[in-house]
This record gives sequence, structure tokens and C-alpha cells, in this order.
Amino acid sequence: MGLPKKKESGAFDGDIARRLEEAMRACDDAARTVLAQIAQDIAALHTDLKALQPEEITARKIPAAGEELEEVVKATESATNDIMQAAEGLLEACSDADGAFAELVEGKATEIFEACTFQDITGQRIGKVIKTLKVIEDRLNASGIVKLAAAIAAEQGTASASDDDDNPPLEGPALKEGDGLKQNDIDDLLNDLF
Amino acid sequence: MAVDLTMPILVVDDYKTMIRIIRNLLKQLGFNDVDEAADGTEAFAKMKDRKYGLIISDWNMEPMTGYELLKHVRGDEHLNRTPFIMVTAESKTENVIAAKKAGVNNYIVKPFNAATLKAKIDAVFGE
Repeated sequence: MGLPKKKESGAFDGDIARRLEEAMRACDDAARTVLAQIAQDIAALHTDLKALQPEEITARKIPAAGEELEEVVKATESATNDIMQAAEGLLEACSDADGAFAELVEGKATEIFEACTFQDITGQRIGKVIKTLKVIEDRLNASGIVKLAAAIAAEQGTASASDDDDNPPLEGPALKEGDGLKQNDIDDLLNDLF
Repeated sequence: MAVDLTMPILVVDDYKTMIRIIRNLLKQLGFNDVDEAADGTEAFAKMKDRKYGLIISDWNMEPMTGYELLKHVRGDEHLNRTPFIMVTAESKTENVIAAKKAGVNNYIVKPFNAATLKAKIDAVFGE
């Protein structure tokens, strides 16, 4: 196939115009496909970010987890001191005793004191976990994910998770005095309800 | 050299519970003159006021760690011969080496028992 003759230039121009149009349509279709894919990805990202609830994680869940762990340390420390006080009491009660019985009590008390060293170790380990949680919280806050998710949530509107009376959130043991009901309050409440 | 059960011992730890545990274990071993400090700074000040026969110190404390306390003690011409046992959860080789280089007499890793404490005290005093 050679170059078209001059007299055929009209047909030649028409052919080029057609091919150009086809090429542009193809480009347009490809661009449209890519843009549609990007839009789909962004929508999926929005959904993922919303589901991740980074604001909920940094503002509530991580601090709450840290507080829960601190309470674990306090509770085990308190229990350890109670256990040691009991062992010290036993030793004191047997201070005038001698012989095999006194030896037995002293030996067992020593075992109790030794076992109580667990509290220092678990305290240190939990302390490390609390520090790690803080690092994650700080990094999430610094990353901008939280703000982005908040913006998306504001744009799309979010339903409160705790509005469902049939499915109240599970908070576990109360952290602070006043956070939860005492047994007497619960008894009163139940009496009022039924 | 026999271990003198009447010698004053300074236990340094920021965990009150751990001080109580060590105090009880020492009592079980026959040591009754036990003082306490919550960190290196307080311990060093107490050492200036009273001559202790043995220091039993944690490592991880603030503001002055047990390691810094050890270096302070070894750098002080009046205190540098005081026996010093580190009792800590830091169990990495580099920690033990650093403590040894700084002049620690013995090193106990938490958790520990009375037998270990007794063995290390005996070792420090050459029994």
C-alpha cells in the first residue's frame, strides 16, 4: 500500500479524521475506566476508614485500654500487699513458736514472699504495653487519618453505636469510683424495675 | 568473711511492694536493719548520712536509675567500697556487662527467690 494519490486527498483527510476520532474515543474510554476505578477505590477507602473509626480508637479505645491496664497493675499491687500482710501476720503469730511448726510457717511465708515478686514483673510488662498504646495513639493522630475519617464521617453522617437499648456497649469493670453502679444501687434499681 | 547479720542494708526500688518483698526476704535471712529509698537520688543522700553494709538496688527508676546510683557510689571516695547488688528485671547481656563494668558486686534478675538472694549476698561477702 503506497501513499494516496493527490486526487484522493479528500478521502485521505476523512480517513485521518475518523482514525483520530476513534483514537480519542479509545483514550476517553480508557480515561473514563481509570477514573471510575479511582472513584471506586476512594469510595472503598472511605468505607474502610469509616469502619476503622480511627477517631474512636484514639479518643476512646486506646486511652480506655491504657486505663484498664493501669487498673490491673493497681489491683494486683493491692492484692499482693494483702497477701504479704497475711503472710507477715502469720509470721508474727508464730514468732514465739519453735521447732518443726515454726520452720514450716517460715518456709511457707518465704514462698509467699517469693511468689509476690510476680507483681513487679507484670507491672513492668504492662507498663511497656501502655507505652506502646500511647505510641500508636500519637502516630494515628499525627498521620492525619483521624482528621480524614472525621471529615468523611461528618460528610456521610454517622449513627451512634450506643443508641441501641437492646445491645448496650460492654465496658467491663468500672475504672473509677462513680463510673459504674455499686451492688446496692443495682439492687435498688432492680427493685424499682420489677 | 562471715556475713554480718546486724549490718544496715539499703534497699532501693521505686516499687513499694518490691521493697516490702525484699525487706521480708531479708528478715527471713536474718537481716533486720533495713532502710529503703525510692530512687537513686534518695539512696545517695541516705548513704551520705549513714554507712550501709550493703546496697540492694533496682535498675529502672527515675530520676536517678540504679545504674547511675552505682556509678555515683563508685565515684565517691567515701562510699566506693560499699557492696552493691543490682536486683532488676533487665536481663540483657549488655545490662549485666555495663553493671559489672560500673563496679556492681552481684546481679539478681527478677523474679528471684530467697535462696538466690542469700547466695548472692554470701558471694558478695566471700562466703
